[in-house]
Amino acid sequence: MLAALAAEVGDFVRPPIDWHAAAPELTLLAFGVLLTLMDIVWLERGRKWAPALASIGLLATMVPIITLAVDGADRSMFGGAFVVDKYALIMKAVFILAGYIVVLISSNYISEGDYWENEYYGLLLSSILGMILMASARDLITIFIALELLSIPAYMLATWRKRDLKSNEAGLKYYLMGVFASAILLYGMSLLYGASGTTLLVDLNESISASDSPSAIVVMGIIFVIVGFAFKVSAVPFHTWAPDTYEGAPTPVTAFLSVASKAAGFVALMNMLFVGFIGRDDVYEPMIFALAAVSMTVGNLIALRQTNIVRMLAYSGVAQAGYMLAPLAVASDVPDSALAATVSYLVIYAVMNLGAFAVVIAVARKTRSAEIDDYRGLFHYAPGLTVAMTIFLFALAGIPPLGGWWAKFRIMGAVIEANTVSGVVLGVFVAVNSVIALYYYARIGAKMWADEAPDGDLTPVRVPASLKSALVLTVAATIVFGVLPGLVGDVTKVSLLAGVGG
Amino acid sequence: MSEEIVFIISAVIVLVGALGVVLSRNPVHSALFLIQTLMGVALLFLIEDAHFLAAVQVVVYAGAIVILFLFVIMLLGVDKAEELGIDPIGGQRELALVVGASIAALTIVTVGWSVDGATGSAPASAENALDNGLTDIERIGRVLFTDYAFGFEITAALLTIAVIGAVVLTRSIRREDVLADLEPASLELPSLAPAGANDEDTPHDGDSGNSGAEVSSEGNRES
Amino acid sequence: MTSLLASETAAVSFPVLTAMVLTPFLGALLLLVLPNNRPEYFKQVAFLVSALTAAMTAWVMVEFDKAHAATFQFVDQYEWIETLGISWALGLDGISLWLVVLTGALFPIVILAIDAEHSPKPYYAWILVLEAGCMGVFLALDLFAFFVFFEIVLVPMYFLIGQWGHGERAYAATKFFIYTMMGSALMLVGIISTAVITANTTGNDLTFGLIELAESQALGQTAARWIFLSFALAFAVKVPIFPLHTWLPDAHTNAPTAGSVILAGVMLKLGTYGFLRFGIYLFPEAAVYFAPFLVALGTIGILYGAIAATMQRDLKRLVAYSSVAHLGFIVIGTFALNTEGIEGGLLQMVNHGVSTGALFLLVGMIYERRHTREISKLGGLQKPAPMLAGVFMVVMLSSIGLPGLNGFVGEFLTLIGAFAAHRWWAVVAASGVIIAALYLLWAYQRVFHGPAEGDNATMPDLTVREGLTMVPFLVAIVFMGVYPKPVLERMEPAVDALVAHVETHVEDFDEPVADIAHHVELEDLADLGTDTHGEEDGEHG
Repeated sequence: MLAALAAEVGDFVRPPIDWHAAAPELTLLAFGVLLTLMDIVWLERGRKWAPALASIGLLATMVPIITLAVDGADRSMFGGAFVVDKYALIMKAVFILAGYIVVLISSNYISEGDYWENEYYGLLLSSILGMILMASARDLITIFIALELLSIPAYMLATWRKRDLKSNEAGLKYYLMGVFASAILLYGMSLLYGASGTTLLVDLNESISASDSPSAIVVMGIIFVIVGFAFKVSAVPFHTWAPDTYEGAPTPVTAFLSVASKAAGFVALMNMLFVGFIGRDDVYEPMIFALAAVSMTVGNLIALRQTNIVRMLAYSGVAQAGYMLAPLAVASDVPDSALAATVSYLVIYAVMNLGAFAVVIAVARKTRSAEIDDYRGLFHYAPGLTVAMTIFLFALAGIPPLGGWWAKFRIMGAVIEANTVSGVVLGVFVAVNSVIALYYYARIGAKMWADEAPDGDLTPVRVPASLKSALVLTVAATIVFGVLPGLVGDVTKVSLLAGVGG
Repeated sequence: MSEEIVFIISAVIVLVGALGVVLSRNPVHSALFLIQTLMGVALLFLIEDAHFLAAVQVVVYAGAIVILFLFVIMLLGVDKAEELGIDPIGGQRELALVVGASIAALTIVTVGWSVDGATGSAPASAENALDNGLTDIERIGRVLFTDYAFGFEITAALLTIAVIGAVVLTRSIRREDVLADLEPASLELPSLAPAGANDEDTPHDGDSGNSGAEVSSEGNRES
Repeated sequence: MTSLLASETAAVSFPVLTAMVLTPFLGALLLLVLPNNRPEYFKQVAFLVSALTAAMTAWVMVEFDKAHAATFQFVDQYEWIETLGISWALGLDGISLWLVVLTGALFPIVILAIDAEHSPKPYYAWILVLEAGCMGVFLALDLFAFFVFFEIVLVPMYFLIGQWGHGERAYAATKFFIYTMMGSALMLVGIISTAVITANTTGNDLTFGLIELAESQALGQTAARWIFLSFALAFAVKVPIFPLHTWLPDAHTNAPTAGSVILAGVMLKLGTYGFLRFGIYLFPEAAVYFAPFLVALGTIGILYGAIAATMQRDLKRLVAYSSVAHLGFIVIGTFALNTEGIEGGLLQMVNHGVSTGALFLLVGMIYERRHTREISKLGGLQKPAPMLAGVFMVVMLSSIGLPGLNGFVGEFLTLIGAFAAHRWWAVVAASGVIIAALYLLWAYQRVFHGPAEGDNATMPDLTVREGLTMVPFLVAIVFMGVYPKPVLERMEPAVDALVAHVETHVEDFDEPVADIAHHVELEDLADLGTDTHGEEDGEHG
């Protein structure tokens, strides 16, 4: 029986698999399985090891990423559906390190609250697995699976405070909007597949960019795909889930969503744009332009009115997504600079936003609140946290010589380098918006430094060691990226997609 | 010729089922009619040599989704009589009529007047058509284990995670209760010592035992 | 135009300019790691660091080669971000020299003269960071570096106002921050556009180097005008030019004394210096095109500032509005676009830094003693505090522009230049001098004359330390008023070169020559004019 079957499929050849290239994913998967098994074998007694094991898993995943980077060769598998190049490796490293910092800021929050711990870290790792897969995905199906793999655990993490209605709302809203976006995305992908007959982005590009004017089905497909990812990166007008979800979700999860999940959305979008759609800029550029301009303006204007710092960071994240989208709107004119600018921004944004959330978590340990008014007089009882928060806020605002400034400079450099009217208009949009944004960042700064503490309560905030190390890491990175931007500049400079896109 | 006969028969099955879904008064009957419709569609797939799709149609739609419908219907109460005369949202019937008529008109126009068939010209990858001696199931198998092997394997992880997450989210007991269930078996029972007596001098291990025990007594009081 | 190109000067191996920027910054870091249990050290350390910087400034001033004042000297250039053509380039020429000297001299005095009201550690650290930023702005020869410093200076000032200020300090700090950011955000677009368009047109690598960009003049007319506007907005907010001045009175009134002194003494010059170094040098055609507009705004600023100052009840606010008027003079001088005007404007920048800085210091001393700045609550202070009154008198007369004191030379040169270029605006502007005399003398009269009642009668006079801190101001005021030649002769070649640069790159633009002998007869200020004319001749000779 088996022999007959074997004879029948005799001409089947296993596709060549480059185990080195897949090593990061496999390592992370192995640790995720290990975490789950630990839960089954040791039951709840293993929980105190969960964060440690998750950290080790993430750091272990860095090893193959580093060896691949040292090796330097571009690797490609499955006919080009899975590609490991500099760009992919950088994004993988960003996801892994962001995930590591999220574990650091989670460990006390999760163990002190009433949460399922092992599953938390297991889901976190699998979401990161989806992200690092996304960095290598160059094929519609792989992209979609990676997207689901990173989203589904995130939906569940958002509702991890199960007995809190706000958290339920957060998770449900995120889930419904996410599924809606996935459906639209999938529809767009199926249209594109129908038009081109291939799921590989490189072939897709060849097929859709051949003609002078795009067919209606291709236009629909591109629009739907971009809309789908616009949900993921919370660009206006597809941002409505973000503030509620951010506010209701456990704060470390919010940090994770606002940084890693958003970055993954951008990675997917960049894969699609730079490899799949690059010749069809007549379709996607006006759309990205509008998304970018509207996102930054609306995000900043709404952020002005927020009284809760997490909601404010959510809306500021919407605006930041607008900044990051801006270079993509000139991707056809200056593909290299545009990609490098957005990747630089993603790297630096990850650091500074995670840092800001780490401070929010630390302060909430004392105040039990995320209201901006509870930051009054922070300097008088937590000077270290105040300094850190100020650094992060000013970095987000783009004040030199902090990291955010360099990121914004890259964005502006790319859009202006395009030398088109739309590019310069976007540059002006970014400039004006940084001033609007400065207002709400500086307002928090003024509250922390100049005001008196509410009720004169000056008991210090106790910051646990893991949170402290997360803060030290993010502060150091924020400053180093600003003072020696050559570091991130050189790294992102060589990580161009052009070689992959062909 | 035989293909046409099969088509007509399955079309009748599909249409009768569809009408049955709409017209039956009992929701359970509607669900069963839906199965009939889906089976008919599976037949249509079979005529087109899409064996895999036919199987998926039966397994996923008829097997899983309709069973889920039935589940929900049973949960909500199958006996409750529905007063169909009342229109819960004003004007929705009229609206449904307009939308339905438009869709029907659109379909007729598309099928009747389009230049090269409703599905456009020849498929974009004609050379991939099912003529190289392999059935579609074999071809799907091949593609799954070659080009899409990675995605396929990752999907396995995705499903596992979805199950774990679903269990965590739907479990209604508190984590402390689980701890309480576990701890007394392996560690000293709280009733043997007066509460708080051993707090100061218990070693590291006992610490968690005590806290677990305290929580468990609280949990008992609540329940 | 090779004369403006950077050239190696007499074997400078020690990167003194980099050291001048980094010393205060490292000093700030040093302060942060000092232990908290000996707070009295903070001030001493801060003073020593700024004094060290001042010493380097003095050394630079002495070593400055006045024969080559038009070239950048002591140039430090290191690659910073190679891929984008960004370098850490610092240099000094006759235009920036005196502003650097002013910065170097003012900070130690401010640190010495004023004690932190509370939390001395961050206070002195911020002041040192501010010094580093200001030095950087005046020395930067790379647009990227310039912008970084231009923005950095906002942060310490934001904190100085927000944390150590008075009254509506949070509001004032945020307003200051937002206003100045609003201007400079668009300048960033302008800077990048300049670099990108130049690189595209010339086919060279992307560079942010000031000299390369200015010498290539690769921008088209329209582009250059738009970009000039984006720069002008940034500088106009900083100066501030009417109608963008509204942040200034708030910031000054609510700032701590040290903040006011530095704001008036150094930070307002960042804008006027920016116009000279970047606005005119990079975009000569656009500068010529917009010059009448800016001169008009400057003149309105002079009148507006003077009239508003007349109506103030708060002594500090009065000085703040007088700043608006003074900076108006600098603007019209600068955009006269001739040697006299620019030189006068430049000199006036230094003068304003000295005299208004001193005025704010004195107002701060009065406030410390009386805890009010309401003019109506003060009066007769001359009797209990004759020293204070005397010093105030001299500084105020310098601010008015009394011949023999420094303010006169600058104001007069400015007006000569402006008169040659835009005669009627200059005539209107000259009336600002008269109003300045009116409001300052009137304020002096109300504060120091008359009977001293209540707390006013027992107000203590200057202490020895305060007196000593005022000495450098008085020396500068008198010296520059009597013998401005050493100052002027070092700036003149650089200013000449700048004007020549404009003439070369702008068709049908000739320097509006100040034909003094002809015009002076028409002017009321004729007798004053001949005085300085003689002085000028002397310095040419």
